[in-house]
Parts: sequence; structure tokens; C-alpha cells
Amino acid sequence: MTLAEFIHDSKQNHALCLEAAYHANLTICTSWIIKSYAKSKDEAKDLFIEAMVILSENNFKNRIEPTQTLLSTYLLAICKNLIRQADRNKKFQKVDLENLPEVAGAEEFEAFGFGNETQLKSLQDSLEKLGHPCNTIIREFYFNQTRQEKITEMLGYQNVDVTKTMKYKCLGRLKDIFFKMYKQS
Amino acid sequence: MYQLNQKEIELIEAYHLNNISEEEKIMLTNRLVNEPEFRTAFEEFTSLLSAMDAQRRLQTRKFLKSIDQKKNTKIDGPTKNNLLWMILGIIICGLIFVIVRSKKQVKNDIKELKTDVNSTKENDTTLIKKDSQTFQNKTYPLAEANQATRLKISSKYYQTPEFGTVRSSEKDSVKTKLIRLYYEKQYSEITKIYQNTKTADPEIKLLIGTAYYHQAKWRNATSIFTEIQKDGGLHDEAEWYSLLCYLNDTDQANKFKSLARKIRSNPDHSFYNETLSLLSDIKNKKITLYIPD
Repeated sequence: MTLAEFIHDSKQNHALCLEAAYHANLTICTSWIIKSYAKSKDEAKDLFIEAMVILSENNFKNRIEPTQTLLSTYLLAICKNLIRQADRNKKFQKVDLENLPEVAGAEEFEAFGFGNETQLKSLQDSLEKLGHPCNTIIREFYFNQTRQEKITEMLGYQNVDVTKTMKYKCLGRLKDIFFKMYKQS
Repeated sequence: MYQLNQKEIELIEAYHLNNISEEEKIMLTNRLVNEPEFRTAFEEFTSLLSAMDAQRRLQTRKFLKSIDQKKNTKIDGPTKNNLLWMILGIIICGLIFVIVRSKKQVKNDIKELKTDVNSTKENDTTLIKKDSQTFQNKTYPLAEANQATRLKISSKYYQTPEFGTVRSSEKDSVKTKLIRLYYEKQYSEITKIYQNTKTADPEIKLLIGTAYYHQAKWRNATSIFTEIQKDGGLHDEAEWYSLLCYLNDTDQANKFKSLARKIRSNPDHSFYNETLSLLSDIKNKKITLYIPD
């Protein structure tokens, strides 16, 4: 499967395409990781799954160019970068984190809570509070990576523009609820 | 609190996804510097989008791990059952094979027993029949044998007869002369002398007969041998040498047949064993002889 094919198939059904890509590349990638970097089978599988996540993320953000490059080559490149990154992180772990000097602005950084658990929990709660159809639109577009055309069909809207307007309105509402809940927690 | 409109949200989202042009980027940075309320709203919005990114990644990771679990359960569950089924199948096949084989063996044993009984009965009768019919059959294993083969077979069985010692009174007699000539292998001389002098001595007759034999004059030889048979004396020898003559004479096949049958039916015959082995030799050479009735 090439990158162009993956992008095309992903637009039709993202979950199905991702599953197919997983099955097609699991053995190639894991065996390569085990052979080249002397990793265990479980480590190799974790790395492959992480590479698949990055692939999915890059596809959502339109960061992949629809070339004739093989998907396996792309995934192997991601795996390579992940291993190098992990090696770099290992070096940083040697630093005594407990005795680090306090940095100004760290509290502010934490206030916005980049990727912590409470933030994710409040996001889920706020999504539930959002109600239909905003909940569906946000979930389908941002999490299930469904195309706007399909969402339009699903919800029976007149055209894509209506869905687009609805999506931004819902995002605005979600932001209000999310920060309200996050501040409360 | 600043409320973002659709265009602004679109712009922030594009910025978050890195899908923004340079012009838009400059415009956005200017606004972020100059409008603090817009800046707060922007920061809140980007943090929401980051949280959504994290949520999406988490969801994708879960989904991928669920595929892996599904795959594992698929492998673990049914393969164990399959293995059991395979083992059971092999055992059942083995049992069926053993049962079928033993049944077949029993059938074969019964068949063999039956055939054994029948064949022993048949063999007894057929052997007797065959024995009596071998010479009555129209075909006999010498029919197509050429003269060379006939000679080969007959020379295997032909032995020069031993003639008695010559008495002193008989010195320079015809008999001594013939015997001397015989051992000198002057067979034509012997036959010439025989044509001039007639004798009743079976030994001399046998000598002359074999002399004809050595000259391949089968008819002459057989006529002398029949004379000996009639007169008596060396009867068995005469018969045996006649048989060898008939063997070489293609036209005398019928006579060969009747004489061989005669010797074969008489176990006391001096050349009984020789006749049997001669016949079996002819048979083994797989040469057929057509003998008209």
C-alpha cells in the first residue's frame, strides 16, 4: 500500500483503512525493529503502534504528501525517529529532576494543562454535556476523522457549509464548557 | 470575555494545523500582540485543540491495541480447539485405517485359503491331465527351432557308444576294422564297408548307425536303429539314438513325438532320465514345434 492509496482509503473509512494498514505492516516493521535495534517483541510492537498513531495524526493534519512511497517505508522511518528520540530521552533521564531550579512561567504552562489527565477527563465530560448534534459532529470530525461530506449525509444537512458552520459553533460552545469544567476541577 | 467568530476560529484552527499562509500569520501575530483579550481567547482555543489532539491520539492507540487483542484472541481461541480437533481426527483416521485393514486382511486370508484348497485339487487333476496331454497337443516346443538349435540340443545328449574289446580271433575281422575306423572318425569309410558286407551283430549295427549319425544321414541311421530294435540286443540304445535322429530330422517330428512318449512311459528304460531332461530342455528353450496329427 502506498501513501497515496492510504490517504485515499482513509477518506472513505478511516478505521477500516487503519486496521488494514496495521495488519499489512505489523510483521515487516516489528521484525525490522527487533533485527536492527535489538528490541524485544513487546517493545517493537509498542513502537509500531506509536508509529501508526503518528501516521493517523499526520493524515488528519494533512501532513502526508500523496506520493507513491510505500506505507511500510514511511512507518519504518517513523519507528527509526521514535527509537532515536527514546535514546535521547534516556540521556536526559540521567539528570536529577527533583533538584531542578524552578522556572518562571511553569505554572502558567500547567494552567493550560497540556495533555494531563484532568484535562482529558474534563474534555470528555464537556463533550457529553455538549449534547446532540454538536457531540456527534465534534466526535466524528476530530476523533473518528470522518469527512465533512459524510457528516452532512449522516445528520441530513443541506450541504457541507451548514456542517462547517455548525462545527465552528459547536467548537465555540465546547471551549466555553471545557474551561468552565476545567477551572471547577 | 472575548467571543471568537467563525472566521477567527477557522484561522486559529489553521494555525494549529500549520495550514496558514505567511500573510495570515503576520496578521495573527499583530493581533496577539495588540489585543490581549483576543490573545486569551486564542490561547484557550489552542489548548482545547491540543487536548482534542491528545484525546484523538489516545483513541487511536486504544483502537490499534484492540485490533491486536482481537488478533491474539483469534489466534489463541480457535487454534487450541483446532489442535484438539486435529489430534482427534488423526486418532479416528488411524482407527478407521486399522479396522479396514484388518477386515481386508481377514477377507484376503479366507480367499487365500479357498484358492489354496481349490488349487491343490486342480493341481492334482491338471498335472495328471497335462502329463498325458503334453504330447497330444498340436504345438510342441521344437516347431520353429532351426537345424542348428536341433543339433545343439541333440549334441548335448549324444554320447559316443562304447564298443567292446576286440577278441584275438576277431583280429583283422570286419568288426575290428570298423571299430578302428570309428575311433579314427572315418565315418564315411564305415558306411562304405557296411554297404558291401551284411552283419547281424547289433553292436556293429549300432556302430554303423552312429557313423551315419555323425554324417547327419538321419534316415539311414534310423533305419539301422529300427533294425536293431527288431532284432533285439541293444534295444534301448537303438531307441535313444533314433530319438536323437528324429530330433534332427524336421520331417520326422511325429515319430519323435511317439518315440519320446514311449520312452517316457517306461521308467525302466535305460535312457528314461535322459529323455525327460531332453524334453524339459526343449521346453525351457521356449521353442515350439508343430507336430501334425
